[in-house]
Amino acid sequence: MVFSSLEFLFMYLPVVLLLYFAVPAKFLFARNVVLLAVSLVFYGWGEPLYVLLMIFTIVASYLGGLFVHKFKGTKKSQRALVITAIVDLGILGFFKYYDFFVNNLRLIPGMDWLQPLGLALPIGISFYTFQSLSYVVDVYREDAKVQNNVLSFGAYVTMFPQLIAGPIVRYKDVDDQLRNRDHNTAMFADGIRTFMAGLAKKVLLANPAGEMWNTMSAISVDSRTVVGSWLGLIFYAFQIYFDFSAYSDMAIGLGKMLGFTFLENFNYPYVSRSITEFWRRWHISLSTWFKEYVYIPLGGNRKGPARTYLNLLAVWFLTGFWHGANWNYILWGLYFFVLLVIEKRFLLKALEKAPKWVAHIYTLVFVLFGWLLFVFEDMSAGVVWLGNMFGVGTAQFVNQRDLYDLLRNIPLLLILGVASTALPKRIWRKLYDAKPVVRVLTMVGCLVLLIVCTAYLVDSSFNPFLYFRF
Amino acid sequence: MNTRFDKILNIVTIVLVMGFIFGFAIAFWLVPDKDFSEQENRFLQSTPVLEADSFFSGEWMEDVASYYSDQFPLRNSFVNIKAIAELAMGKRQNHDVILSSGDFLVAWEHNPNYEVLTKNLKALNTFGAKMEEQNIPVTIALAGRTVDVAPQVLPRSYPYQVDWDLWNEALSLLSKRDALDLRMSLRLTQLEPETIYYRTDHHWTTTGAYHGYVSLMKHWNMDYKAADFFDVTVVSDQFYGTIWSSSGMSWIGPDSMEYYRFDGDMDYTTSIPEINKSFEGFYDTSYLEQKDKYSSFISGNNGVVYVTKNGDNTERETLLLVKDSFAHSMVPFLAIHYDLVIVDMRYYGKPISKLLETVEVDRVLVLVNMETLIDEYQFGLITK
Repeated sequence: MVFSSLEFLFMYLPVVLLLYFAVPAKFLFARNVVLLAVSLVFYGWGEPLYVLLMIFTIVASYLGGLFVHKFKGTKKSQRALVITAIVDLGILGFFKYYDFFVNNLRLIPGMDWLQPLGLALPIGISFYTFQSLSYVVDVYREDAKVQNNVLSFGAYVTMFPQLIAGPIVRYKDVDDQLRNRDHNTAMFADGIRTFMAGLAKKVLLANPAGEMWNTMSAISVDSRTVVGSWLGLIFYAFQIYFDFSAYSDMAIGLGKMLGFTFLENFNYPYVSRSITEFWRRWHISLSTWFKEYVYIPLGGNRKGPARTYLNLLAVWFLTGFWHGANWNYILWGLYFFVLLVIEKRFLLKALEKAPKWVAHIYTLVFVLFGWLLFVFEDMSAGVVWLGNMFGVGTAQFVNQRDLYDLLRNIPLLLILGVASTALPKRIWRKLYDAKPVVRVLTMVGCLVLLIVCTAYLVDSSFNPFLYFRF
Repeated sequence: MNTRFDKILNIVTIVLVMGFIFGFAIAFWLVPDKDFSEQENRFLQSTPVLEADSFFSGEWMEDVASYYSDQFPLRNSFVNIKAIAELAMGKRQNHDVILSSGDFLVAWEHNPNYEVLTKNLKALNTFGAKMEEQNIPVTIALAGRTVDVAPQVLPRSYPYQVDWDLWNEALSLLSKRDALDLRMSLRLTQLEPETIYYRTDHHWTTTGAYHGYVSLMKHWNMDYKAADFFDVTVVSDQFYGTIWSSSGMSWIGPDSMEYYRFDGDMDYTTSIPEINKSFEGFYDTSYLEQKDKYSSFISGNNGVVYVTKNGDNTERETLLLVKDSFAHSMVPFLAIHYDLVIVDMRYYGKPISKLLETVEVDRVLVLVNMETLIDEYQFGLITK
């Protein structure tokens, strides 16, 4: 089920809130159990069979945690950690990557007896596997207390707000909240505001941008133009950012309504002045995860420059591969590895001295080319599109259709552009504190946005979430 | 930030938003389901029955999703709100329907499918060549869409080039045939757009069809009936067409529909053997009571329809009319000159040779709209 759907908003959510708040606040454990139960329904709605697979991962990681804790400080603890990691990653590897490896191995003569299985990818498997793993590692490092109750642990992994598209919540960040958290009207109302902002971002900004990208990318190769290729890709860049950050906003909002505080997952990545900065602002929970559970364990930057680059290479290879079992995602990760190394070597210093706009444009252009790698799983089509952007294989530089598409989307593009910066939120924050009328307007705005979003959902069949493939 | 005022605001926010969500959640189950939407002309999703198969395949969940969107309370109002929001964003259109001047609703194809166009026209070329080998003259008449015929109602920034390119390609693919560009014929009449095309439907009006008929007759060097031969009657002023339905802009008013009646026009018989239907004249007026009023011309879409003149002993030639629904409103004019064998390849579903075994034809007219040609490949069986 996706948040931006009628059956979520008008069936699942009201039932969940009724059940959850029907349990008195003092029985927090019972609330966690309700949360686990409704989250399993949420997941089972999209994956009626794979829900068993997720339960298996949960139980395995739970047991792993118990053993890691029991044998604390001994070799056995380490062994328990390794075994749990192998089980968790093994499941992820099998369901997500088996066919990729098989299809590539089949290219080797004599290996064509291998057959791809064509299994559907379990929704959110990359997310819940990483969350489960983070728990076992945190327990091993004694960053978090062991969770003796499998139901509470299950509630952490399956918590429906962040289950299928993040943010990736580390166990140590919610450990205390599972045991003790407040529910109050201020937090609930705040959760509603955050959720509504996310819903509006998804339905009113990401979907229309996505529709434009779909329309423009469907234009046949022989009538493409330079301007159209740039415009189309820019729409895609907006779509993926608003789509994904909207999901995180909605997750954070729903979390607040249920008494949880999750960390922010996006911090206006498109205002970055370097790729390094971009990755500090984009999908923060994933970068943090790789940093804490891959980069630092490998030695980080403490073992000399050669080893540092090798560690970075590992992280970015994995980051790319995590996004999808396809060469384009791997290349996408390596592309950022190269850019980040170049920045580390000298470019960052130069960018700091350069005029701000140069740094902004540099970052946006390279992020845009990154999306080109990301969006075309068929890389030859991506190369053609890249060529189109520079006038290779295009019929014209610009045509009437581009101008029409541009003109009728100017208001949308302006909103997308402004909403990509911190400006609207900063102004709103300031006025919110200073002017009571703005607080009233915010309240009315929530309802108006809900009505308009409902209208779009009733009307539309176009409502895909990009990050469901992961 | 923890003043009484803020506390009240928080509570009111919760009450408003949760009130909306719970209100519609409850209303959804209280309001009885509808079976059919006249506005959209389709059956709506009913309560999905839970079965193991459809549950594990995920089909049931998809049905629940369409159930919610189809049966949502105040559905039409929400659809309206969405259309208003799109227009307020300056998009000028909703669902690829451009709101044009004079409340004209114009469907637009952003990215015409040339592949489908080429396949369709190649099939028609093959068919045309085959018939001409048997000395049966073939004319292929292409009718324009509203965008092609009434460009003056469109926004100034509208990309006409897309449509010009499409027509150039289509006409060049037909260069070996006797082709007639009815888009141009209708533009050259210089009549007001709403006179020749419906504002809310993709078809031409009966006046539009009449002018199509006139240019066809001129093209064939035949005498045609002048406008004063007909008695133009308004049969409905409540015609909401298909584009109106898909636009979501239900505040746009209806069109009126006319018949070009003439003395003796009931001395014809329209018969549709596949549904055992036959009636005098050209009109199935029962459709005038429904939303789909355009279907009152020869009773709408069918595979094969025959139109003959009653008790006429003079030798009348037979015209094979290969068509889409644009031809329906032209049938009354053509029937004055020919007995008609009318075939719609989308509904006929058999090789055309099967039909030609049963009838003798003297002339062939292919009359289709550009939209039909780029929509889907449908002339596969005309070559067989």
